[in-house]
Amino acid sequence: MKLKSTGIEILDKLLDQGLPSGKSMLLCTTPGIPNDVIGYQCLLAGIDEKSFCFISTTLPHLARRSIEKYGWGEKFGAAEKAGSFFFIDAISATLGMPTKERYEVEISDVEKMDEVLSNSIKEIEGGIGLINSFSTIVDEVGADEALKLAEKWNKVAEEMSVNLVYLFTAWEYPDDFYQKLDGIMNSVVKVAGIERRVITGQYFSVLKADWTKVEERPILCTILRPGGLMVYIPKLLITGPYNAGKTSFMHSLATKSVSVDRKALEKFPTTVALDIGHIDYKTFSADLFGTPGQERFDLLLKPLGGEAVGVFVVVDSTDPKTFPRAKEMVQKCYVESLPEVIVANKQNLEGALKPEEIREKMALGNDVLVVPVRAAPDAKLPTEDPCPLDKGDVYKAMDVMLAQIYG
Amino acid sequence: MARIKTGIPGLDEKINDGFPENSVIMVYGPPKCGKTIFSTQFFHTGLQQEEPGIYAITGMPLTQLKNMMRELDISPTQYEEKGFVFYIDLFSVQSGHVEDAVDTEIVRNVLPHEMTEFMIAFSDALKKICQNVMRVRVVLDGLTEFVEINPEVLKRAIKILIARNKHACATTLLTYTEGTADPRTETLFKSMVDGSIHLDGKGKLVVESMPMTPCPIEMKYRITEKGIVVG
Repeated sequence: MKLKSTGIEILDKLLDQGLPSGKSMLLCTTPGIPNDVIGYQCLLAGIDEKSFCFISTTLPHLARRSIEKYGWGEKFGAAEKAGSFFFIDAISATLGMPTKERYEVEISDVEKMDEVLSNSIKEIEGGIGLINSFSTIVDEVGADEALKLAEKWNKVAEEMSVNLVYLFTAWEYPDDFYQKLDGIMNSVVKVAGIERRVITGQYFSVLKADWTKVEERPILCTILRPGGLMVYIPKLLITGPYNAGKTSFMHSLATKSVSVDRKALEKFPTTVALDIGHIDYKTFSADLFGTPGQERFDLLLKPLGGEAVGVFVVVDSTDPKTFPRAKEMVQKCYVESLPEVIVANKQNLEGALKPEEIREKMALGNDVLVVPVRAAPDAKLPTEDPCPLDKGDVYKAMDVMLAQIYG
Repeated sequence: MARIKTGIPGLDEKINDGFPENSVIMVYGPPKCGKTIFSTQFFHTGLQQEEPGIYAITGMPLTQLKNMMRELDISPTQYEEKGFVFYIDLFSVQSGHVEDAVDTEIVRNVLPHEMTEFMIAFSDALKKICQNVMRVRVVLDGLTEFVEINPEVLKRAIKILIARNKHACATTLLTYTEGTADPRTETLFKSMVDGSIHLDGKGKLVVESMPMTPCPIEMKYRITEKGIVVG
């Protein structure tokens, strides 16, 4: 069976590699949490095929503005021009405004809405349809009627191998409504807020996917404009012995970063407090915290390691006598149980040990991966500090880390 | 209980120095009775005391609201620059002023009947203005534009909105134009707030209910160049 990406790597993994053709997905959000971004991201992932967006929450051209802010305006624009993507305008008529969209409906005219939507599903055979939003339909036509419609559309979609994605705001509907809704959807993804005094963050988790066994696991996420929905990793730690190249790794990996350095022995800068950075990479967004390497700062290691979800251990591949110190630092950061990636730095230098040799000397378990990292080809060695590292190598280390965290 | 000054000359001293902190108060009355003027004074008083605020406007475009503020000698610009202000314009898109309805760091344009989008804008606004402060003000001026929404939908949305505001330690002012909804909806509005003030448009202001304050309290009011003055 053909699988379609949702455009969010980790969501694909939780759905067992994506949405099988013809399967429906309900994106169920608590009030106040934006969900259109996930819907648009699903459409974007399938933009090369046919697709539509039924829109009742805002005017289509405002939706286009929003899509543009996520940085996807060009791709959606090209698809619209080619006729493979279109809006079903379910708002303008209600407001008494003219529309330029291919189809226009009023939600209160159930028969016409049903006809247009059913025909649109047939029109995009093999593609993806976004319904933004199903809660508006429920409010307008009533819960029973809305459920009947969704059941019918899902059946047509299954026959046409179309994936329907329903955006839905979980207002206070009766419990039996939710049970019925759950019964007619092939998959349900919950998007909720982390609420303290105000909503400070959000997460999603897959509650149901009838084609696979679901692991209900909350994934922290954030929304970037441009960028869309990114899986948020609150803390990745970068540690390792003095002069191993932690700051170089941080600066090469991070989208933005800052270091608190001081010149050691009046010769070269060394980190004396911490490095802080942030990376937006693929569909992930992570904060990076780097520790100093000198023993006199060991008191800082435990607090810096607190709440980390993964650790990069940077070692100087040419200096095996510092390896025990690397292991000691991992212990002192209290991060031994976390996903760990050994960054075997300075691979471009003479005498650098190979990853297998480093694994042996550090007596690492098979689950710990060692990633070789070299200086960037254009690095001005040995003076440039921090030394730019090979982007391919550092991103490989990041990929390995993400695979360790999210499987 | 701490009180939040309304900034309406003559009113605060009659109601124990202002609204109770974290309360939800409705100001209502017929058209042109001074509800928006009351709201801007309340909002501005907060800003002067470094209390950030959200102003959601439904009955006119944001540009017109700002013109009205200027006429009352209120200049929110300095507070906007400090990040103390967030506006939600629920009028411009609906009324067809779509090209003016441009979202910025401090302005969000939403359709009034789309409560989902409104709640998203509201949550974003709270997150922005609540940073590093404990006391904030929220004005929803007014409920009138929402009355065409299915009452059940409106009820649940206002319920959540009020809960979020209270959770965020906000003191909230809602306005409503009397007679625009059926009596049941009006009763519903009153049942959801902590207190209500009626402006009759002819110079009589009645504090009908207010937590920790003996009510009703009847006063005279007038609209001057500087705003509403009581007494």
